[in-house]
Amino acid sequence: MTNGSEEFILSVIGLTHSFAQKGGGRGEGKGPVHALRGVSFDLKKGECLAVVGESGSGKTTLARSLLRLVQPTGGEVSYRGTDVLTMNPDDLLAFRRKAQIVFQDPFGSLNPRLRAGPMLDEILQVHGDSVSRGTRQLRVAELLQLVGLHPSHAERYPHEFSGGQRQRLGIARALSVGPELLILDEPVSALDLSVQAQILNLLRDLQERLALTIILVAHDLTVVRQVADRVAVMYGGKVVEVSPVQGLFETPVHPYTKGLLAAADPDAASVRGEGPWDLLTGEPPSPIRPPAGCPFHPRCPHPAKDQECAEKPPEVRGLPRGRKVACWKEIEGADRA
Amino acid sequence: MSLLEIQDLRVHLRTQGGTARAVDGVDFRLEEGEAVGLVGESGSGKTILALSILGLLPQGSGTILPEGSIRFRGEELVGMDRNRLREIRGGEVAMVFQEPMTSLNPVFTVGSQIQEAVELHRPLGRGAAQAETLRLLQEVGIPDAGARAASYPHQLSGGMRQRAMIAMALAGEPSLLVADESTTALDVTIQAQILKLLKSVQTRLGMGLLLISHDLSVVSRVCDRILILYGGRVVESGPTREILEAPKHPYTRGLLGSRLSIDDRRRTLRPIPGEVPEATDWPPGCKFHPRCQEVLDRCHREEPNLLPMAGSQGAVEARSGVPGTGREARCWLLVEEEVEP
Repeated sequence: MTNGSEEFILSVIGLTHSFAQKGGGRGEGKGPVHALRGVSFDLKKGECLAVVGESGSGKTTLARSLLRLVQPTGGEVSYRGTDVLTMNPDDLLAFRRKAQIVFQDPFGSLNPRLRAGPMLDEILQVHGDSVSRGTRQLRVAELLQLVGLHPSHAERYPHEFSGGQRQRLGIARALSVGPELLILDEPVSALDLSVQAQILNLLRDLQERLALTIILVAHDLTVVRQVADRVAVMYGGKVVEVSPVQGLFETPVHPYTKGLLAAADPDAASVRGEGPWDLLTGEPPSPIRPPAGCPFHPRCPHPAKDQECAEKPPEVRGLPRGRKVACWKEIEGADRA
Repeated sequence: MSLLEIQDLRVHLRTQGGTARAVDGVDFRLEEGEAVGLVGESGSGKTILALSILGLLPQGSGTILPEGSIRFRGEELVGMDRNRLREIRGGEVAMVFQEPMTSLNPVFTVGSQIQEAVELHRPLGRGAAQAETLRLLQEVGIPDAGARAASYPHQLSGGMRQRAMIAMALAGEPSLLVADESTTALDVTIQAQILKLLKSVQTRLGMGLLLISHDLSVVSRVCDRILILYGGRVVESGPTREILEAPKHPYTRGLLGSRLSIDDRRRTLRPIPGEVPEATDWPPGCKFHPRCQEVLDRCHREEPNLLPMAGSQGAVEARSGVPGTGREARCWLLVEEEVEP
């Protein structure tokens, strides 16, 4: 679904974020939480990049950092050459019209006393160019139809929508300001499977029709299979593998990626074919005391080099066909770190 | 005698919008040691069905008590004396819910809560109950069980909490475990671990398992047989492999079409259009007909019966003819050529 051009709209360089804990954790001791530990990637215009990882991998913090909803403690987020993290308030507002986010549960961010129509209308008044009331009304109807709702839904309150419809409304709200970048944080994980499929089809359709650039955050690889052009797999606050979607699903390189695939769909041909890939044991590392070396080494079924894996974090290495991986094992065609 | 036998079960709830027919005539059996999956979307009635098995329906002015029959080892649970029901619940029949955080008491340690369940349902002294608690924690794969027993629920991860819930469910040595969306809130990696755990304790203890989920692929990893629920009724049932490979009901085909996979061959998703209507608002005729893509004329007027289907193999074949055990489906497409008035 990429449009062939190589225009980058977002470059993330060495992004880090650590914050103080609120209250007691799970008995992992005091100290800051290291949510992001050096994340870098580029985003091409018109592509859909999926960010996948378990709870605690840093994917939600990453999504929020990109819009500066949290202020990262280090690194750079460059939007068309300007650093988002140091933008002045006016530029930041303009940037947020171009980049919108949709959360997992839009119910939590919808005013229960405001009907869908007036809610969208208010945004158009504040941000949009449609000045007259009539134009705005048309635009509201258009937005609702764009996401597969009916213009008559404008009269409904948030609680009168089903979960799937609320997610559509959340998307309509994000689209109301005409963004070029849409970030979706677990947009379907709270929905029934049949409704998940509807929303994923909608995303694919919107991406094509509006030439949107999308960052899709999910914990389940099967969710991103049908929508993403590229996938970044996160673990312990780092990106461990980036790859065009087909390569990642058919010939995953990082042992963590293989484990995620095996967990998501143990019956899939690719999972059963080679191996089978091991089901992951254990749980993700503590972001308070991340392990030394490769963050995945305590759970890794096949550590490549005991010493290095446990002591030195592997560098991100480039592979053929636009892939990157951070792992100590020998990989054919990898450039030297 | 089946471990669990449900006949013509109906649970209707009075709501502001009218009477909700949440469970509307369900029949099925679950044999000793059998793992049965119950699959349906939100609003299909699966949770109300599970709660009525345990006598846990919300008690209020709005609830109409279940009608029909729920027999556990031949003993009728509908209208049963409360004290006897309390003995069975948590003892012979146990349940694991979706969100363990709301089922665990936040101010007691995990160990003390499991031990309480052990002492309630088994004739063990304090010391023996304590030892049993540690054994149960080990059984469900909690590392460093001694230390974890002393932890409070908030100190455990979601996966560990769900393991602790399973340990608590096993405390009364149940012969039937009802698990309602018990892996839905977890990461896929942890979900896979918990499903593996459920399957292994079920096999090892020879326990009956009723696994409830909206996700057909979750259920198919663990269960021998699957029931598909829509509109408070079973619309299709059969052995797992037959349901996956030769679905008879358009709703089942829709669920399979919405299933996400990492295989490329299923790239185009074919979701079911629309959503489940409110249980106060079921359409006349077949309840699925407004969303059905193969709808016939009579689907608008008459509701089809659940009919036995041919093509079953082995053990299921032997039992076919008995309602609620074999290959069945409820759809006019399957009888259309035979009867057309």
